[in-house]
Amino acid sequence: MNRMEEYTTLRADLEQSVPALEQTLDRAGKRLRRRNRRIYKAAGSFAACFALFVVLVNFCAPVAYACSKVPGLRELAEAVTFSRSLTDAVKNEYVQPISLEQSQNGITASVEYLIVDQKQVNVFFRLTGEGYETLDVDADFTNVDGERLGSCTFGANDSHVPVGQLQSATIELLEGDVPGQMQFHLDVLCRDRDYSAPPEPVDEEDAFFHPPHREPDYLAHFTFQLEFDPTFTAKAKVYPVNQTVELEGKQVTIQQVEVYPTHLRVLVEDHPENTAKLQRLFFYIETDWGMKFETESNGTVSFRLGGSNVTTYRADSTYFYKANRLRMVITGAEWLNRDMETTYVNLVTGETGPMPDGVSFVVAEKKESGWLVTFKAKERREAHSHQLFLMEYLDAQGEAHTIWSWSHGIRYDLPEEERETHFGLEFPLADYYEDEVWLKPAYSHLWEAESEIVVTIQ
Amino acid sequence: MKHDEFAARLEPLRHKLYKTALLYLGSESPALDAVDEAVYKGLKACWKLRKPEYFDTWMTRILMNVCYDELRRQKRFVPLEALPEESAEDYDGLPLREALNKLPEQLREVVILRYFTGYTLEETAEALGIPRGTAATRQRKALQLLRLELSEEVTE
Repeated sequence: MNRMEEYTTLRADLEQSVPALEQTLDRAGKRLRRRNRRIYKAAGSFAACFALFVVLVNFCAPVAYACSKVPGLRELAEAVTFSRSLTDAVKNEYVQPISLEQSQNGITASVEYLIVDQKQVNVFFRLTGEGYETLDVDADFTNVDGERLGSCTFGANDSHVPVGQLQSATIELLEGDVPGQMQFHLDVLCRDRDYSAPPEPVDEEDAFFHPPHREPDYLAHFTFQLEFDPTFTAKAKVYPVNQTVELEGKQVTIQQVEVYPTHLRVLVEDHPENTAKLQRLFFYIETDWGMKFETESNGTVSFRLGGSNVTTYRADSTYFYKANRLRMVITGAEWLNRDMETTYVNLVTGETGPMPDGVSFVVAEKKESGWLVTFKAKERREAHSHQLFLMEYLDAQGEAHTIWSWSHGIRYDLPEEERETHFGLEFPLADYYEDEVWLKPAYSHLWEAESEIVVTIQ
Repeated sequence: MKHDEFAARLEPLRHKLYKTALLYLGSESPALDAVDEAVYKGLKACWKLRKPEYFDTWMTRILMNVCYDELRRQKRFVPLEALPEESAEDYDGLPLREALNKLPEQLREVVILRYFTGYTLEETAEALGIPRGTAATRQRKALQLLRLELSEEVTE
């Protein structure tokens, strides 16, 4: 085939239709935290139950009081589309209006709404500033003395927000309850990027081995004192369950389910005599009329407090839905065999110990800054890629080191037959030059239930 | 530009963006990811686009930056200045796709936009943010290296 024939053939190949392209805009719309109704699409079961949203579970009398008192709900509804639970909270007007404003260096920050329960605080605020089109924030929460609030997750929910648009930040306590007062800190910066300019040059390799850390250039710092109206801070509905189920020959106990307005928690106990550790449980919650509530897709899926064998999983909240019965349907689990908590890799020969199912070593290259290691893994149905290893790894002396960056784009072409079914993972072992390493697998295998495993909650 | 206009203008452009990403990144999955990322960034920033007539080249520029970021992560990005002078003999014997991948970035991007995505020389220069003459020079050099005899579009 001569060059022109190759060119014609290549052009023809490029014209083949790609069905996945049809949903590109849908996927972008869903990612966009604020979208207008012409782009947003509801899941079938959620849309079917939309007509029932006025049915309130009567846990919180003040909801009725708040009904006609909350201005700007439409804008607030657009600000919470990233969370089904918060969307339900706004629809049911479980919202505390608040009015706090500060200005500094030409930037004004105003805090306008709170959605609060025993475990979570969501702050809705707005930034304006002359001469800026978008502004970003680093958000933080402390107690009234400026100290950390214990084990928690927190941060801003949006980035690159146009000035004047409502946005939010969230803190969730992993243990303990939200206090009556808190400090909310906002550090404001501008991360505007001009897409017409070529990207900034990056040093060869070094940025991947040693991710650069630049101190942000903050434009303003704000601290707001938040005080929560107890009438808007609902208590959880707690369902003791204490049911043990057998999953692939291993025992797991569903201890209890806690339903908050902002999320739902399922406490799951892993039994120490099991031959493998439960790394992840796949499930959904279902009402007696068939409405499903999925595990949290935005933010933390689960957490385990240090040393405990109880993992708390998070899911969309059933708080605002009336249900005579609730059940948990388990669909699968991810296990880590107890003899596979570390696994050997010889970076020179490629010899490895047991690998997670579907994962294989591709190559390791010794660079000036350390080793660059590549693996490949089979994709799962629910996601293009998933975690293969933990951040920590060990050397021959048992000393721990940390993997600081990962890339799912790898430099080696996967075989043609694997390109649609596998993904690559490349990561640097910065400043590490030994020939052997002990990685920590995130799992050893995935198990899928052949039939429903049901746990009755209510 | 509002979201509905963005959606309407994106419809005929989608496959073009995909072809560009596919030639840059080499396979369907990363190309789809790159298009998804570019469309998301465009949707987020479309309110900034004052001249809708530049929508195509604006989106192309966003996509190429996404591809550059990915190639940089893959360490396949080599600036033109860093390479020794190459001759057409270095490309002979290579299948066209490999030869295209071997081209220095600044030559490859011109060829991809001109001869695989269907942009005119003017549109290519606009999308890359370079003068028309520079685009023409790079195009000529790339075609020489690839030994492709294609029209260089000497007229507007």
